[in-house]
Amino acid sequence: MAIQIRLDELLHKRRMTLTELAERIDLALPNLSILKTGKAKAIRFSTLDALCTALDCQPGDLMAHILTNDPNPEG
Amino acid sequence: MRQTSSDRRGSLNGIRLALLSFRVVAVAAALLFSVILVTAMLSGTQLMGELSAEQGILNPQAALRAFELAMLLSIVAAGTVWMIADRLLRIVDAVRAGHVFAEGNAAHLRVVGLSLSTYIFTYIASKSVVQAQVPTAHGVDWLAIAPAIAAALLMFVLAEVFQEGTRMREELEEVI
Repeated sequence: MAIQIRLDELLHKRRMTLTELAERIDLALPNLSILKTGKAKAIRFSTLDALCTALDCQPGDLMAHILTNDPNPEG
Repeated sequence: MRQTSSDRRGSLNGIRLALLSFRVVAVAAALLFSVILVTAMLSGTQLMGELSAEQGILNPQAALRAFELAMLLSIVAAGTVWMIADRLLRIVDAVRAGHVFAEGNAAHLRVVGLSLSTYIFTYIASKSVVQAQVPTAHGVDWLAIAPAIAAALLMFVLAEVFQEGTRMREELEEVI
């Protein structure tokens, strides 16, 4: 996946746990965990909005595009 | 007017009962055709000899073989009917359990399409085989099998729709 989720870094900076964040944005912990480990295929704007609000950041702080030579970006 | 969930459950139960009956009828038909086939093999020569004059049969022995082959094809046809009912029953059970767009349903629909195609083939083959030997026998009624051909094609189309639906559902499940 060419999109890297930087949830770990942000959580560390905000001194927040994943469980705490899940409670704040009202998202199931397993789903947040899927997002954190980069296994999610897509993210809703509503989730992104909630994450940015809870972590006081911009979408660009939350994710980054990594250049890869992978011919199959889906995987 | 929108159907309530209890209405839907009721109609699914009705469909399930019809399919179960259909499956029983298919087994009964297969047994009946088997009995006719065995009877024809045991005492068909005498019966065909008596019938050949009034039906205009030129070669009673070849007509008997054709009849036996037609019965064998009818047993296969009964098998396809059983298979169709069984696979539709599995789809109904999956829908009752809430699994509509599942990989299994697409595969079941493909099997139904193939079974319908086999049924059509056995119908055409048995009619053609018998008519070749018995001039007075009815031939293939193309108008009657046209809906069956359309239904077989519909099953393959629906299988593709379900396959795509399953892919979309799986993709949606990975959206956070």
